[in-house]
Amino acid sequence: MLANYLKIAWKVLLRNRFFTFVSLFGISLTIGILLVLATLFDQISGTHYPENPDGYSLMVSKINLNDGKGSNYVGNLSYNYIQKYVKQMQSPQNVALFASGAGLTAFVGDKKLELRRSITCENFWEVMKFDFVEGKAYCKTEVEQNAKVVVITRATRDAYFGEGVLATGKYLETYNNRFQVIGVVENVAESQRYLNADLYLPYSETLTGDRNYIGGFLAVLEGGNRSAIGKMKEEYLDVVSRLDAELKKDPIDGSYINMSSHAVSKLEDISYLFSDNSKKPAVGIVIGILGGAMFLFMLLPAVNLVNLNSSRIMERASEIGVRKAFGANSQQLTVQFIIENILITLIGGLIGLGVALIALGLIESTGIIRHAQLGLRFNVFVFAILICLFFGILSGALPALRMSKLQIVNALKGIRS
Amino acid sequence: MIRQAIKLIWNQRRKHLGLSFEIFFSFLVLFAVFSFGFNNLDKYLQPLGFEYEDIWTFQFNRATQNDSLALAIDEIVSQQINNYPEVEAMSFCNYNVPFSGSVNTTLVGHGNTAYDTQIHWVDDNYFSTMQLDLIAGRFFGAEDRAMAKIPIVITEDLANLLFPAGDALGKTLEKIEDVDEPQQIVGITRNYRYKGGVMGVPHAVFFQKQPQQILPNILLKVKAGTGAAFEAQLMRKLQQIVPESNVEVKYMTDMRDEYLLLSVVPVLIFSIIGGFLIFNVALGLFGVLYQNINQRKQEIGVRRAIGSAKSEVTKQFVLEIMVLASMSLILGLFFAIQFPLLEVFELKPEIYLLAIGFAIISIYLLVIICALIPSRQAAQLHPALALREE
Repeated sequence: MLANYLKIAWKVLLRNRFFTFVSLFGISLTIGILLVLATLFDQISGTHYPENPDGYSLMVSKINLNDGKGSNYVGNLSYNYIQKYVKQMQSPQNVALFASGAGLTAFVGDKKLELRRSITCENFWEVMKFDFVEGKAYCKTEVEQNAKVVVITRATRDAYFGEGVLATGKYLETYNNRFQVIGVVENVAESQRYLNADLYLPYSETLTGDRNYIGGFLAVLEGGNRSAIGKMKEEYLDVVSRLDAELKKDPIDGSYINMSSHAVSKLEDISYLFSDNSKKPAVGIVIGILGGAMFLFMLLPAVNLVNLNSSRIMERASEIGVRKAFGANSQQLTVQFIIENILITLIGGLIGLGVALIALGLIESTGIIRHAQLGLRFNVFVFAILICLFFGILSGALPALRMSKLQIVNALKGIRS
Repeated sequence: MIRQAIKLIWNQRRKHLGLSFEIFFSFLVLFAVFSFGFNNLDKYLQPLGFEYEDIWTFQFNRATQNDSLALAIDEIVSQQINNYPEVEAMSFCNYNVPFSGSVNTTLVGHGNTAYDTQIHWVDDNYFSTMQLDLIAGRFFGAEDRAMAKIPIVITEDLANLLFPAGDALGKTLEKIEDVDEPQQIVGITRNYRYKGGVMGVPHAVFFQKQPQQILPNILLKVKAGTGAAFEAQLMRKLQQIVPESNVEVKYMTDMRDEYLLLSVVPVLIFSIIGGFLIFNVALGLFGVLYQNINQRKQEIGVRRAIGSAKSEVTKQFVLEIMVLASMSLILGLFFAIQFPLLEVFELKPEIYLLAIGFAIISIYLLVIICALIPSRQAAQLHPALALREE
């Protein structure tokens, strides 16, 4: 039965090349664009190098202080806050701290090299799974001794020491400092909002002189297994509510009496772009907005396909008439036409996949997102098949219903009802 | 003839529902893309109000909590930097320099006439460093130090909004934010579009740096062609003065390019997606019309047999689709016109109207092209052949 439907669908596809082209063009580009967008979204929301895929980690990136009268003070975490409160938690199996973002300038001859540096603790190298091209990471003693060592990325090495030159043991000079390179890691994509850097330095006490809760650090909480995620969230909320209660008696800066902060996954962190970051993360809103935008985007090509298919009913009139005369009911015909449409959509989806791969390759080669590896991942592929089915049903249902409702006599005569 | 076309379309309204929805939706997409594009173009074409060529900027960390020590450091730094022949002008200012993304806004005015305004704390050299354009009054200088009131310079749009009579000079502004002393307007400059690119015209107030105030940012206007060699020299000098200062010099031309890219990329993505949707619709429309017109061969045959010219037949089909498009456009206009009426998104009404105009023209062009080809083809058919198919 199904094989027959597919065979008929194939013949119909070949019958009128122009219409097939129009249908496939719309479907494949729609799906191609959606795949590109999905991949880009996955780049910022999914687990990617150098994160550990088996780490089940959460991140605490922000603390929100509030004076109850509308004045907010939002920032990253201070070193003391992480040491005193986050590291004391029971549920995480490991806690790492790091600061992202600040720039550093080095000079190679007369050329200026702008580098992004991240300051980290030694645990950072356990929680993250960096690929070392050469050398190794710094350890606890080096951090404690305030050693002037640095782990650089491959791109930094190539720019500073020369393409492929071994750098371990050599010195990298910024205009006011001199660091010994002890390791070289693979480049980190710019889409890693917090983790991307050109060089990683051990933190030193001179950089951490803040007394407040708010400072320049972020904390990564490694759970180790799926069930730990919920526990870590709960425990961290407990810690924050305890501190919040203390603030009521002894406000920070004499005025900040409320505090909020959350241990969040990457997707939850992104949801804060759309919602108040003193509240719990609202992933539903992000999914809703993205889903809505996707639906709107697919609507026009789908309506286009509906119109096209509807106007071609008469091409199939004699076939429908004969099948109905021999006892096929409306439901069977509807199913057949929907399957046909899904087949077209899947073919379109396959072309779309190719379009997406080419587009992603182009985006990668322009270097807009530095060091990004924009491959299609399995979850994006599953997503592709799902949108194909959705698109196929969306655009096939109405024409199929119309076709199946044709009167036998009219259908055989070729007259529109 | 038009009445006939309307009647024909109206009689088949259920069949044409899908097509009209498609045209309606395409109109909305085009309206959105044009509004967005024109709005950005309009902003881009307005003057910046300052020069960004050969301006360097960096944050300067004095590495001390002691204010008098920091002021002494500033004194030395200012002297040393001004000694370099490469430096034409230098100024201390707050974080919110052009293209930095840093903002410091507050409401200026009162009640309904309060405007979101950038507060720039700057020293006396800021105006010459950034080459701001003075319209009236003067920039503040050393002579203002003795005044009890803080001298301020405001931008022209803000001056006109706050003092419609045009007598802003010499007026005192009500207390702004944390500043307790009254502020007196001593000068008016051209609008200062410190984010450049496609950002709108923000209002700005420039406050004179107070003698005890430490400002975190330094701006340099260097001679044209000054490069990394001088930058390294400058950094070494600064490091001699304050060893812990971690200076990172940024060129304002680079900052501007980055900012422009940030604002151009959304327009580009939006246009590509919009363009793809419309091209898709065009192909679909062509297909549907081709199909519909081919199904009406008998009608064409009859009309040709009783003497209609080919052009008459073509005209009929084009007219029909234009009537259909007009119906969808009326519905689309109803929605689109709400944007200028309700002043959604704070765009100028002219931009919405221009976008509506362009969207309407594009839709008509689209449907006419899509209808012209198949109807011409059908009109070429010999009446005998057309009728034989019956």
